[in-house]
Amino acid sequence: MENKNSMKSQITKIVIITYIITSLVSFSLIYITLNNKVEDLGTKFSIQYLLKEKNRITTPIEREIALAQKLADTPTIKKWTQNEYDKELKMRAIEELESYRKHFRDNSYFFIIDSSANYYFNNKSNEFEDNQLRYTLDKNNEKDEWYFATMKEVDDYTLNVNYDRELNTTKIWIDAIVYNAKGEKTGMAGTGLTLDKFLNDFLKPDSNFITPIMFDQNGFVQAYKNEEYIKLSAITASLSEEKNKTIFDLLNNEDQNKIKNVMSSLQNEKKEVGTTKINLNNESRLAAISFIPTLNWYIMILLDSSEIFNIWDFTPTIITLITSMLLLVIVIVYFINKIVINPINQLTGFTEEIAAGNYEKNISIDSENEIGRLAGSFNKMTSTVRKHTNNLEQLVEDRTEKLTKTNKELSKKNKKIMDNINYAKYIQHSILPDVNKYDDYLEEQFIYWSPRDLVGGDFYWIKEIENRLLIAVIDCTGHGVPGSLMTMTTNAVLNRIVDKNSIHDPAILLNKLNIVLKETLHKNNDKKIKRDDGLDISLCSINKQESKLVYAGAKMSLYYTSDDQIKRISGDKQSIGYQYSKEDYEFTTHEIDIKNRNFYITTDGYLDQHGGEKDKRYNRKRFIKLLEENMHKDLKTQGEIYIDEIEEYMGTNEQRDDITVIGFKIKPPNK
Amino acid sequence: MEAVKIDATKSSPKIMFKPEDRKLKIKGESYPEDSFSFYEDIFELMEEAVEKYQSFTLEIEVSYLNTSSTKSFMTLLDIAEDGFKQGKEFSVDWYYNEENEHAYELALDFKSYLELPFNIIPN
Repeated sequence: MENKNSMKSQITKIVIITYIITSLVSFSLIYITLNNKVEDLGTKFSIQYLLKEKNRITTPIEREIALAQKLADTPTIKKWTQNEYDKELKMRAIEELESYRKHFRDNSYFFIIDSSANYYFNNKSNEFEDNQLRYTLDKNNEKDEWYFATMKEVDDYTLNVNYDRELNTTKIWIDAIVYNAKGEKTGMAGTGLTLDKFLNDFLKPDSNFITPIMFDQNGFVQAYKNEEYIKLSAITASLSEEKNKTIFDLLNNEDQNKIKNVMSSLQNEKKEVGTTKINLNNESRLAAISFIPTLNWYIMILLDSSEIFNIWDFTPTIITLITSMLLLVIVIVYFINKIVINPINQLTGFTEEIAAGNYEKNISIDSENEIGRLAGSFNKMTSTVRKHTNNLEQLVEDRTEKLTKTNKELSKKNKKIMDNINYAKYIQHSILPDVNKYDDYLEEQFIYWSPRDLVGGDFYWIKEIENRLLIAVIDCTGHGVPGSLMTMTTNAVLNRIVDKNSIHDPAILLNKLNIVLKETLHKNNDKKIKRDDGLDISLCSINKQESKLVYAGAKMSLYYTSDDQIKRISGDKQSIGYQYSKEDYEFTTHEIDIKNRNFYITTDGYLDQHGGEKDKRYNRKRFIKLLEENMHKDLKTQGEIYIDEIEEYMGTNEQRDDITVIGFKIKPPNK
Repeated sequence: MEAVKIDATKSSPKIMFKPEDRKLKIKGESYPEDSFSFYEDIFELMEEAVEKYQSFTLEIEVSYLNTSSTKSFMTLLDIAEDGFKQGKEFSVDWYYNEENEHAYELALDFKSYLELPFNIIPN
């Protein structure tokens, strides 16, 4: 039942495809929109976050820097660097340093006098009270190298971050240069600030999707969760030309450039925060960078937006959406089936019933929509067809009954007519003479008598009178029953004339026949009736003693053999028995020696028969040629040949006229 | 008089009469079942023509006439002969195929009975 071309499968296919496409498009759009939104939010969040961090880090450091600068600028301190061993001055300077120690966040200070390279220090626990001079820096000691480098390169202050492996702390050292009145560098004052708290706060954000990094202007990483990247001092590192890790070592070339662009834009455009997108270990990250001028450092956070927004977080929503759309599809297909396809299938079945000729069924679709109306029309149509069919059947039945009745009557009548004609045939046969009875006169003979219908207008007549044998072939007007009636009349008239008057001369006999027939046939005729009947005839009288044949003819010829030829005597051009036939017409008499000759007579039925390849008359020339070809055969054989010849010539054509051909040979006189 | 047109059948000729031509044409073969019935209307037409027209031509081209059709032709020609004998210009044009000896013999036969102009024309 279900095939792939059915409406059901087509609609199902369309709905499913539409469903899939719509789902894909909607989910893609949702995904893209959400992603963009998340990036937006991520960017804003990063900026806020960075600004906050920047403040959190900068503010205390700047305060310490300011304090360290102030300390370095203290006149007492300045003077002490000029005159380190002045006890009065040293006491006042130490007082001053101790006062600053209380204000420094770390409660510690250091102070170096350049001329002696003496290093003074005290800490939070006041461990070195009255013993602040800790040691003397040695130019050749690698550990002390930082001081000499700073004094050489720094003019105001510098920050050094030290990571102490043993204590596992990172400290930022603020080194402020002390100048004397002449503006010469005479010492260094500063404090250490434990960055651990800031850095830990910075490096360990509340959200796990943020990766914070701090690096300096050269990209050397100052703070990062991966401590490998942090060296003791950026300056020391660069001086010792160690291959330290920079921020750029984390990135590919493209991303390095992006970061550099952001860095320069922060420098040039005085932007607080710059953002860009980079890849970190093949994962997309949003990078937000800000510059901290006091530290000369950059702080950066890498935001993993996929951690903020994960499409799988929406799984329940997506499943709900897919399920509800699927439900919608099922409901739509179900209702299309119920409202459209099932009724159409019902209708199809119904029309197939109608096509099979079953008009008795009614379709029942209880709906008022288009299909319901269609079903209604179908019902109306079938009931009309049913009505018409019934009417037609009744009509056909009635007609058939009438026809059968008529047919019966017709066949009854036909049978009656045929019976009559068959009986007429029997009667007509009875007037035809038996040629075999005339052995005394005839040596051989054949007779071919073939009426077109069962009976016909041709006949032959033989009569013996006064040692003569009269032989005639007669073609009466018409054929069939009317023709046969004429033959009966003619036969009777001929017999009566011969019996009554003992006439044996053919010419006289024809003359007499003409007169009597005209009397007989036209008794009641006036000239207005155009119907006219008569006959053509060839009449021979055989006289054995005289060894001759006497012939007279009315529009019919006599043929006879003469040496190897056939000769023809045309009958007179005067028919017999018609209204216009002249009663005083004298027929011509012909006498022919019988010596071993064949004589032939034919009615025009043979000559006029159509057929052959050109559908033409057989004609007289061909007939004479036929006789000449066969004249030496015995007459019985000749008769059979002539029958075969005309039947073959006729082929499938109908016989046009009655045909009579006779041939005979007269016995020579008894010696 | 009204025009007449009878189409040929297997056993009857085509017959055409147009009053404006003063001409009756008969063409084909003639061996109908009942030739007298078939030609009855043509006899009447011919008689009317004899009454109404001063001149008339019978144009005949038949390849075969059976015995009874021959008699009907005789009747038809007799009527035309009446017209001629009343001093009118009635004539016969008989066309025949030179191969058809029967048609020629028929024409000669008819001509021998009649006095009106009878033209036998081979075609």
